[in-house]
Amino acid sequence: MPNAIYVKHLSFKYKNNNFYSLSDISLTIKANKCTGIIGPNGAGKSTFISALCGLLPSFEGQVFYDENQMQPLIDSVKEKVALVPQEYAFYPQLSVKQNLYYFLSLCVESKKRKEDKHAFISEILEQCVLTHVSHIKVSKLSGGYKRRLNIAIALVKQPKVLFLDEPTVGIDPESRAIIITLLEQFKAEGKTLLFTSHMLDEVEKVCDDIIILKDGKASLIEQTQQKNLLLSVEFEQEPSSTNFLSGYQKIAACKYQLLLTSPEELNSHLLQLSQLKVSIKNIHYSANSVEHMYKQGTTGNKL
Amino acid sequence: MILSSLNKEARIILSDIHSIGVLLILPIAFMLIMTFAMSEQGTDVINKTSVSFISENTDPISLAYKGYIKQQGFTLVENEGLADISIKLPSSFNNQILSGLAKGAIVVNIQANMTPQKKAAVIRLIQTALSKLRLHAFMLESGDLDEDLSLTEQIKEIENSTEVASYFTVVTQNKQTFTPILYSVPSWIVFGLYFIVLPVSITVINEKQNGTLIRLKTFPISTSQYFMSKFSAFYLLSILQLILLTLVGVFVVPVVTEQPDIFISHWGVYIIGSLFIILAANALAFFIASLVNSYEQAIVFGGGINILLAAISGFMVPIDILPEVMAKIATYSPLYWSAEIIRNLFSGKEFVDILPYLLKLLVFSLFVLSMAFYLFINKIRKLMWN
Repeated sequence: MPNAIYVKHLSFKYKNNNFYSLSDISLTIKANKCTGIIGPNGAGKSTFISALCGLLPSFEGQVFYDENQMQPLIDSVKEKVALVPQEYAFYPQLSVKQNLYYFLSLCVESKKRKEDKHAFISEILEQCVLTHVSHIKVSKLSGGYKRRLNIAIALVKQPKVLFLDEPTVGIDPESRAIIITLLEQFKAEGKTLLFTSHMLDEVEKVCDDIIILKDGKASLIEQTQQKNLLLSVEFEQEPSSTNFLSGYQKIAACKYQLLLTSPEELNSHLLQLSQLKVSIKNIHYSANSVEHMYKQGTTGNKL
Repeated sequence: MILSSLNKEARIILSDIHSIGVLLILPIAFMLIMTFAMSEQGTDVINKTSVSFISENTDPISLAYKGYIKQQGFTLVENEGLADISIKLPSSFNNQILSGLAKGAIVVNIQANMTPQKKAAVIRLIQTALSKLRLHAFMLESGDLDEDLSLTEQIKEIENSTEVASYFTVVTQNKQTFTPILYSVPSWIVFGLYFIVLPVSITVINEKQNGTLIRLKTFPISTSQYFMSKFSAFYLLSILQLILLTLVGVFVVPVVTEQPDIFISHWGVYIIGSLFIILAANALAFFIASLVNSYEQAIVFGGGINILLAAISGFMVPIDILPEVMAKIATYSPLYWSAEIIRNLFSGKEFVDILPYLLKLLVFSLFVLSMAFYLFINKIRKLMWN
C-alpha cells in the first residue's frame, strides 16, 4: 500500500508553553485512504494538521509527501494538498460559480483555455450537487450548500490529499449524506483524505485508519485493528486468581476486556471461560468500535 | 489573477452599502456641504449680525453713528436681548466726538458664542463706522458738509468721499486657488480616496477570520503574489472611485452650489498626479490593514487616522486660519500633499508646480508600502489552522 504522508519524530512547542503540543510523533498515512484524526479538545489536532500542511513556522522532526524527501514541505503542500476549513472559507458576497472561478484563478492550472475552465467548473459543481444553485449569491444559501461549496473550492486545486475539518458539522441529514457520498467518491478517485470530526459514528463509517491524539501524542489505529473483536466479561465477584486473565484489561470492579483478532480466538477464549470455576455475571462480545478506541486512547489505556 | 481579484473586490464593495458610503457618498456630500458653507462665508455673516444701541442719545451725531453702523452691513434692532452686539455711547457723545472722547468710552458688548474670526471682523467695522462719523462731524464743523441736508444725504456724501475701493485693481497671482470650490472639492476627493483603508482592512480581517487566508496558503501562489494582486485590485478600484469623484467635483458641484466652474487644463498631468495619490492612499490602507486584527480596530484606527490627517491637513478648517504650528504640521501630511496636487491642477498649474508634492508622495508610498508588505507577509506566516 503506497503512503501519502510520512511523519518522523514530529515535535512542536508553542513559544510561551513549557510543554510539547506535539510530542515525537512518527507515523505514515496511507495513500488513497481516509484517515480520521480524533481526540479531545486541546489534544493537538489543529497543531498536527498545521504541521502536516506546512502551516507551522518551524517544528522538530520531518514531514514529507514523497518517499525520497526531495521536495520541501511547503512545495508539496501547494502542489498536492487542499484544505477544507470548518469555517466557510469563501466570499459570501459572490455567487457559487464566482467563488469557484476566483479560486481557480489562483491556481497555475487556470491558464488553461476558457472552455476547459467552464467544463472543469461545471464538473465540480455537478460532483458537489451545486449546479442548480451555481448562480445564487452564497450568503443566501443554507448551511448544507455552504459546506459543499467549501469542499468544491478545495477541488479546484485538483488535490491528491484533502484535509477536511468537521465537514458535516451543523447541517441537515440530507446534506450530510451528500457529503459522506462525496468523500467516498474522492476515495474511489484515489484521493487521500484526512478527516477530523467529533462524530465518532461518522468517523467509523468513512475512515479506514484513525489517528487518536492526546496530550500531543498520536496513536495510529489501522483498518485491520478496527475489525478486531472486543470481549467483555463481568464476574459475580473479583476472581481470587487472575492468572487466567492474562492479556485482559481491567476496566472496572469485576469487569475485564480483551481485544481479539479473529473469531477463532474468540471461540477459544469463550471455551476457556466456560471451563473456569468462577461465576460469570455477564459476558458479551462486539466489534471494536471507534468509540471504544477513542475512550481507550484518550484515557491513556492500551488500545 | 488581478482581474479576478478586481472582479471579486468590486463585487464585495458594491454589495456593502457602508463601503459605498465611505468611498463615494460621504466625500460627495462633504464636497457639496463644505462648498456651500464656504461660499456663504463673508457675504451674509455681517448682514446676519444684529446690533442694538443701549444709550438714550438722540443727538444728530449719535443718530449718524447708527446710520454708519447700518451702512457697514449690520442689522439694527431695538431689543438689546435679541442683538448679537450692543453698543453703549457716553452721554455727551455729541460733544466729545472731535475732542475729549475718553479712552474706552464706547462700550461694545459681544455675545460669547461669536467666533474669534467674526469678532475681529465686526470690531473692525464698528471702528470704521466711528472713523467715518468723526469725518462727518469734522466736515460739518468746517462747513464742508451742508447742515441743511438730511442725515441720510449727509451719510451718503461721506460714504462717497471715503469710497476708495474703485482706486484699486486687485490681481491674484496666477489663477485663484482659494475659491470655496477649489478648496473643498480637492480636499474631499482626497478624503474619499484615503478612506479605501476601511474596505481593505475589512476584507483582510474577513479573509483571516473565515479561514480563507489559511486556505490560500495552500494554493499555488506565494503570499507576495497574493499581496500584489490584492493591492493591484484595490488600486484599480481607487482609479474608478477617483474618476467618479472628479466627474462629480468638476461637473456637478459647481452647478449645484452655483460656484464658478473648475477646469482641468492638463489632463495628462492630472492623470499622473492621480496615480501617485492613489498609490499613497492604498499604501497607507494596506499598512493599516496589516496592523489591525478586528473590525473595531479597523474602524477606530483606519477611520480615525484618516479623519485626523484630514483635520490637520486643513480639510475641515482652511489652513490659512489654522494656528501657525498646525499649518506647519499640515505640510507634512500625505493628505495635504495629495489635495495640493489636485488643487494646483484645478487652478491650471503645470507639472513642475506639483513635482515637489509628487516626490514627497512617492517617498511616503514606497516606505509605507514596504512596511505594509513586511507586516502582511509576517501576519500570513503566523496563521495556523484553528
